[in-house]
Amino acid sequence: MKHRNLSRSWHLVKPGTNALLSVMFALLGLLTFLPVLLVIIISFSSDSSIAENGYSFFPSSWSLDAYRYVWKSIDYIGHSFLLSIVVMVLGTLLSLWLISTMAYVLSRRDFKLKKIYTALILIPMFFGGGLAASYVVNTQLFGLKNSIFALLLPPACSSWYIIIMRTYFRKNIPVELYDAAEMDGAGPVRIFFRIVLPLSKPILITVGLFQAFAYWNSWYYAMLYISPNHKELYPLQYVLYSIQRNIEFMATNENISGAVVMELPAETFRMAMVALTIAPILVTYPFFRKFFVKGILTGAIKE
Amino acid sequence: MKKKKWKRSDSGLTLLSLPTLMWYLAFCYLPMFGIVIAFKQYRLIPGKGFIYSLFMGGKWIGFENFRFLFLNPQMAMVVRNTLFYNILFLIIDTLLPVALAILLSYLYSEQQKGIFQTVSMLPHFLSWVIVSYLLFAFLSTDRGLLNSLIVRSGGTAVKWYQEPSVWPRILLITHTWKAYGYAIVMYSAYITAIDPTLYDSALVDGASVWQRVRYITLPLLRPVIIVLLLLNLGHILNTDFGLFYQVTRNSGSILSATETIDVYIYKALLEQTNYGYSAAASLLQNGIGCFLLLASNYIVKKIDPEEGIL
Amino acid sequence: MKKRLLMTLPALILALCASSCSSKPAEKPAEKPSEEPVSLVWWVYSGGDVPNDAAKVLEKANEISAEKIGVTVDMQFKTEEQFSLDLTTGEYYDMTFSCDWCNNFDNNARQGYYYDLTDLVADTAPALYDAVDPWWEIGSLNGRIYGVPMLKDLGAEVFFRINSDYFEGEKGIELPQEMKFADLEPLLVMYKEDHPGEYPLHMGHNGLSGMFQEHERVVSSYLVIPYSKAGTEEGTTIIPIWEDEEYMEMLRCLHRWYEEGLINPDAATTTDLPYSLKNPVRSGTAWTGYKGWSNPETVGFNVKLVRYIGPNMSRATQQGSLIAVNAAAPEENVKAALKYMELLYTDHAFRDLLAYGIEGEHFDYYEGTVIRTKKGAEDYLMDNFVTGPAVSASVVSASKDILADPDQWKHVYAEYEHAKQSDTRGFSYDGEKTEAIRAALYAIWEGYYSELVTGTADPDETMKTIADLMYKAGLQEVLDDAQSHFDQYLESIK
Repeated sequence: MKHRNLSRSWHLVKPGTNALLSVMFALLGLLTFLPVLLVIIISFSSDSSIAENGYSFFPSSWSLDAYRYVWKSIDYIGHSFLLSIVVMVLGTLLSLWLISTMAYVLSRRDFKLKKIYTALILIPMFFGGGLAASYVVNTQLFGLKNSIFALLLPPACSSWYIIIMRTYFRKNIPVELYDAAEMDGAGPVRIFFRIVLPLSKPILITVGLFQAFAYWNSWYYAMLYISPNHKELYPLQYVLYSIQRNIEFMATNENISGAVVMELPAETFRMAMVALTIAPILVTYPFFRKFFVKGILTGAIKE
Repeated sequence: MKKKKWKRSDSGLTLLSLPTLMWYLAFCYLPMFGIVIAFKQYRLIPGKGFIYSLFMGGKWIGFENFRFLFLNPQMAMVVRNTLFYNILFLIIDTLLPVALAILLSYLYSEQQKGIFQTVSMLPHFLSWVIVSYLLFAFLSTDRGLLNSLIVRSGGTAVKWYQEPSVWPRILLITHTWKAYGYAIVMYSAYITAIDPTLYDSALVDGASVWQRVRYITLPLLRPVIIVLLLLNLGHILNTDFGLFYQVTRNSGSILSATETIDVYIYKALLEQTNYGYSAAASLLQNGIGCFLLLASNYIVKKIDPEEGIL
Repeated sequence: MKKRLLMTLPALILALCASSCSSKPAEKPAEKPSEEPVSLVWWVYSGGDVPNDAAKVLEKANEISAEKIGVTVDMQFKTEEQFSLDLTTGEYYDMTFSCDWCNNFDNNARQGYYYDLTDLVADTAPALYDAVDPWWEIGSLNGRIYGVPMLKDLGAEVFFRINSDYFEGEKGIELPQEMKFADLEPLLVMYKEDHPGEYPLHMGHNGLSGMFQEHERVVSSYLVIPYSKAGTEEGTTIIPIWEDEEYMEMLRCLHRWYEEGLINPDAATTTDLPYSLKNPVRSGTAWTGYKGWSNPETVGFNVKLVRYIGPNMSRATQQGSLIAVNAAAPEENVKAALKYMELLYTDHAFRDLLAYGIEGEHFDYYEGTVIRTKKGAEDYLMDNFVTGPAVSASVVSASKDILADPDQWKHVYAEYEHAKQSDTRGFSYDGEKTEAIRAALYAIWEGYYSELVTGTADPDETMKTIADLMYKAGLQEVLDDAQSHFDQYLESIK
C-alpha cells in the first residue's frame, strides 16, 4: 500500500474505499467548478457572441477584449495592485494579531474577566450603531476619510473568528501544558508565544488565509471612504469595480455618441474581473496548504 | 462559586487582549450611540453635525419606526420563508461539510485533498451578482442551458423564473454550492489537529473506521459544531440578501417562495432612505436573534457546562 | 521585555491613528477678506467614474471664474449613496446637485436643508434671475425659492425609436410623426414574420423607457393623475394606477404581445442592454428634433423617432437638475454661489468648458455645435446636466455629417407652449404622516412592477392582487391624505 504519511497509518481506509472517495470528490469538485469555468470562458468570449446567444460554454467567437480593456488602464491598475498587496499583508497580520490574542485570552477558563470580555465581543455581532453613526465616527473622529487606514482598520477584527479560534485553543491545548508552564514561572504572554501559537498552525493559517482573501476582495470600505479625487488609494477590486460601473454607465447611457457603445466589453468585463480575482487564490492556496500540512506533522508531535 | 482573586496571570491576559479591546471600543462601541436613531425621527440640523442633530434634534417617536414592518399584509409569509430557509440551511450547513470534511480526510493523496479544497472554496469568492448571471444562463427560458437540454429530449421549455415551487430547491443548491467549500476548509483544520494517538488506542481495540469516526472524531468536533450552530441561531431572522434578491432576480411570480424579511425591508426603503427605519428593522431582527442565542446557550450549558458560547 | 513591546505595538498604532489623523468635522469657513476668491464646495453627481481630466479642466475653470467673479469651486463627485450618506451626516457643502431622482429636491427642501434664496437672487444675480424666469417655480416650495433650476428638457415626450431602414426602406411603410401605442402592433408582427427567432420588442426588467409618462406620478409610482385629464374635471383627482384606463390599455397590449412572442420571455428578469441595442423598436424620452439616437453608426441602421406620448409637463418632469445651496452656508458663500450660477448661464464659453472640456483638446466647434474629439470621449465624458444648465451650453453633434441644430433649445422651449401642463401646478406631496404605510406599499409595488411593465403577467389580474394587498396595507389613508393636501394647495394658490 503506497501512502505518504506514515504517521497517519492509523487512519487508513481500504484502497477500494479510497478509490470510491476519490471518484466522488472528483465529481463533486467538477460540478462545483463548472460555473467558475463558465465565468472564465465568458471572460474570453466576444461581447457580440454574448449579445446574440447569451452565455455558453462554447461561444461563437472568442475575444481578448475584456482583458485588453483591463490592460489599457494598466498603470492605474498596476498601482492599485501593489496597494492591495500591501493592504492585504498588513491587514492580515493585524487581523491575526487581534483575533488570536483575544481568542487565547478568552480560552483561559480561569481568566477573571472572561464573562465580561465574551459578552463584549458578542454584543457587536448583533447590535451596532448603523452605517451613518460608523461613518460619522470614522470620518469625523478618526479622520479615516481618504486614508489607507480606512481600508485596514474597520475590517480587521471579527467576533466570529475569535469564537472559532477560541474553541480551537480550548480543545487542542491541554490545560496541563498551561499548568506546567506556569509552574516554570512563565506568564501568559510567554505561554501564548511559546506554546499556543506553535500548536495552532492549522487554525492560524486557515483564518489568516480567509482574512487575506477578504482584504484582497474588499471594495466596500473604499467605496465609502475614498473619494474619486483620491484614486491613488483605490485597491484593485475597487478599481475594477469602478471601471465596470463606468462601462455600464457608458453602455446604458444614451447620450454617448458614436460607436463607443458597441465596442464596450460590458458583459465580458464583469467576468474578467472575477477571473482576475480568483486567479491569485487558485495560485496561492495550494502553496499555503503545503505549509500547514507540514505544520501539522511537526506540531502534532508533542512531548 | 468561589470568588476568583485577581491573579498575576490575569494582568498578563488583560494586557495581551488590550489592542483587540481597543479595536472593539473604537469601531463597535463608539458608534453604538447610533442605535438611538431607531427611536427617533432623524432630521439633520443644517450646520450642526450628525451627533448633535441626532440627540438635540428630531423627535422621540418610540416604536413608530417599526410600524412599516407590520403594515405588510404578507408579513406572515415573509417570516415563514425566512425561518424555513434558515432552518433548512442550518441543518444542511452543519451536516454536509462535516461529513465531507471527515471523508476528505481519509483520502490517501494530499494532492487530491488540496485540489478539492481549492476548487470547492472558489464559489465563495463569486459575488451574488455574478452567481445570478450564471444561474440566469442556466435557467433562462429561451436561451438557458437547462431548457435547451429539455427541449432537445423532447419536452417543453419551462419558465423557471415564474415557477415558485422549484425555488426552494434551487436556492438550497445555490446556497450550498457557495458555502460548503469554505466550511470544509475550516472543519478540516480542526480534523487535522486531532491527536493521532487517540486513534492508535482505538485501532488496538479493533475499532472500525466508522466507529473511530463516531466515537473520536465527531465528539472532538462537537464543540465547534455547537458553537457554529448557536451563532447561526442568533441570526435566524437574517438572510443573505444577495441570494434572495439578486439570484431570484426579484421576480414577482416566485415571491411567495423567495421573499424574506431582508428583501422586504430593502424594497420598502428603496424609494426613500430612512435610517431610522433600517435601524429599527435591524434592531428587531437582531434583538430576537440575540435572545434566541442566549436561550439556546442556556439550554446547551445545562446539558454540558463545558460547551456553549458564553 | 521584547515581547511586551511587540505586544503593545498594535495598540500604539491604533492610538496613533486616533490622535494624529483625527480632524475636526469640516467647519463652516470663516469670513474671508474680499481680495481672495471665495472657494465653494460643490457636490457634483457622478454616474460612473470621474473623468480623468476633471482636475485639469477644473483648474482652468477656476482661473477664469476667479478672475471674472472672484469665486472658485472645489468639485466633489459623489455617487447616489454618497450623496445620501454625506447629506445626512452633515458633511459641509456650499452647492449641491439635487433633483427628482437623486438627492431628492422636494424632500430636502421641505426638511429645511436648503437655503432660502428668494430675497437674494434678484439683487445678487439679476442676469441669473432673468435667465431662469419664468421657470423659478421648479425650484420653489410654498412660494419660496430653495434651488436654482438648471434648465434642460423640461417636458416628457416619449418616442419609439424605429429602424427606418427596415420599415421604410425594405417594407415601404411610411412612418408617421406620431402614433398611438397600439398602432405599433402591426409593425412588430411584420418584423416577427420575417425574423421568427428574434424578438422585435426585446426589453429588460424596467420595461419600455418612459412609458409611464402618460400620467403624472403624484405619490410614488402608483397614485397618479393622467395627463389626458388635464383641463377636465378629473384633472385634480388622484387615482390609483389601476384606474388609469389609458395606462392599463398599454399594459394589456404589452401582455398580448408577450403571449404572441413579440417580447422576450425573460424580460422581467433580465437587463435591457446590450441585448436590446439591435431592436427594430425601442423607446426613449427626449424632445422633438433630438438627434442623439439617430446615428446609424451606433446601431448599424437609421433610426426614426415616432412620438407616442406627450409633450407633457409637470413638476416631476421639470425637476431633472437643480443646484441648491446649503442652509448652513454663510451669506457670503451664498452670494458667491449665485454669482457662479449666473456665470454658468451667461458665459457660453465658460459653460462649454465645464460641460465638454478644453477647446481644441477635448472638443472642437463646428458650425455652432460641439464635436467631441477622441480624447474628449475618453478623458472628459459626462452628462452635461451634471455641471449646469443644458440651455446655455452648446449642442453636441454626433459627427460632421450628422449635425445637431445649434438653436435646438429655442425650438424645444417654443414647443413647450403647446405642451400639456398638468393641473397639479407645482404641487408636491408632503408625505410625513404616511411614511410607514408608503414604505410597505412600495415593497408591494416593487415586487410586481417588472412583470407588469414587461407584459409577463396579466395586468388585470395582477392589478387586482396589488390593489387588494395595498388596500390592506393602508392605501386609502394615503390616497385621502394626498388628496386633501392637494385640495388645500389648490385653494391656497387661487
